[in-house]
Amino acid sequence: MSELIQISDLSKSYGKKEALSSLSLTLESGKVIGLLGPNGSGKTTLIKILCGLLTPTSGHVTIDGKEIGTETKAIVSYLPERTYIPKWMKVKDILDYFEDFYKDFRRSVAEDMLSRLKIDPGTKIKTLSKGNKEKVQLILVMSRDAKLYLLDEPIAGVDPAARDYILDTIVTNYNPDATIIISTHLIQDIERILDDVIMIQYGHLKVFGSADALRSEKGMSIDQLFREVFRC
Amino acid sequence: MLGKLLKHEMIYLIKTFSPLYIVYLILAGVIRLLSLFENQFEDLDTSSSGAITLIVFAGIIGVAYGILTGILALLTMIDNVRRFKNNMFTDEGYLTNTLPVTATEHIAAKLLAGIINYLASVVVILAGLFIASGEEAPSMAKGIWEAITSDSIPLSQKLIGLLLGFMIYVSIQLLGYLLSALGNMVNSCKGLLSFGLGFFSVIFVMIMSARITAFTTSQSLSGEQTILCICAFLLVCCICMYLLIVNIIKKHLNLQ
Repeated sequence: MSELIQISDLSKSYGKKEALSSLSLTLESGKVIGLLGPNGSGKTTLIKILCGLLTPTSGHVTIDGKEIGTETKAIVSYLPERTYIPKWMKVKDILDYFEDFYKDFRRSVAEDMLSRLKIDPGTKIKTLSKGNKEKVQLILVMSRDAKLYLLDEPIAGVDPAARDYILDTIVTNYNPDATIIISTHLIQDIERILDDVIMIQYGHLKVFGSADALRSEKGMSIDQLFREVFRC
Repeated sequence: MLGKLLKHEMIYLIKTFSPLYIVYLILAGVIRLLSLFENQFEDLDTSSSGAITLIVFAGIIGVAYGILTGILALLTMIDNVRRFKNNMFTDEGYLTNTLPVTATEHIAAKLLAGIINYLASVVVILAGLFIASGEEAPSMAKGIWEAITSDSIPLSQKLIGLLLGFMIYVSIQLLGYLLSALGNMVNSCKGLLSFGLGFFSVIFVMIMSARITAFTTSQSLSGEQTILCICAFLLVCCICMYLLIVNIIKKHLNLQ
């Protein structure tokens, strides 16, 4: 396994508010990493910096040895919390869009997943339910053969059956040599798939390590560790 | 990547504006049909409900056609800025800004698509006018052609006039993009900020254009040279606006 992400002394401020403070991490390829923390801890800020939506106030970030830019955007597959597909499009339009801009997009995989969900590619995005829109977005993201997948709260606000579907889709469709970073505060559901864990609070790194090592060292599950670390 | 961006812009424009252009041409056709029966209207008994309905219908069609003729080209410009704002600074920005595409390519694609759609709207308006005017269409076409090819206005002046028109169009579009980008940076009073900055920008350009004209007149420069100076000033404004927009997209994106 090689180093995929290098984060050195990363800070991000919004005016006087510090969202990330001197964060330093090295993340390897081929891992499923849980980015855990309470609301407002800096998880989304870190993910947005990694996918190029925010620039750091200070510090340095590289992905696969490259500065954040168009080259890293080509190898990063990002699932935001929001629905981003333009409402005027049909499902097949967004498939065409992804196929045009991402060389690693596997259209056959996407179409297969859509057909299993019984979503017709001719359907207009604005007629889909909220849950189905989120599933279409997830399918688009996981149908890419990317080096880094950034999933921001993929299971928040969905029913338990949908959560299982989302987690199964993640596990069965990603490139095993790639890294997945899943940001969430719903630990119980994703603990089973995590290799590594990052816990941050108020922009500071609190815990970082292998999930198995943390469980044996602390003698508790990651969910229990989370509750202890972030006890109010 | 610019080609692909432009392709998807054109797909959006065809899906969005084709129905509007078709409706406009149909309205022109209806105007033409109504004008064919103009003589019969004079013999109508205007107290009958059928006649009133027909007159009201003709009036509505005429008003709709007139309004669309006046604003069709303007609508393309407004939609272009609206689309830039939605693509870059709303939820769609999570898709657009994570594409492996530079900010310059995004701006260029939107601008090029806007120019193509603007020219298409002008062609549709002319086609509508030809359809509505019917038998007078050939003489209208001849008149427009003679105005374009006339020797009374030198070719250089026509080209400079086109250049000025192009620079004004690009300046207005880029100003719209810049105001959207600046609005993205604040969390409240976006509309007020955009309106205020837009208003003062227009005033600034008008004052500078007047000063340039006064200067060139004092230096005994020709009208063509004055317009070229104004075009150069607009070019500098466009470059400044472009650099600001790119800087905001790269470093100050504020997607909620």
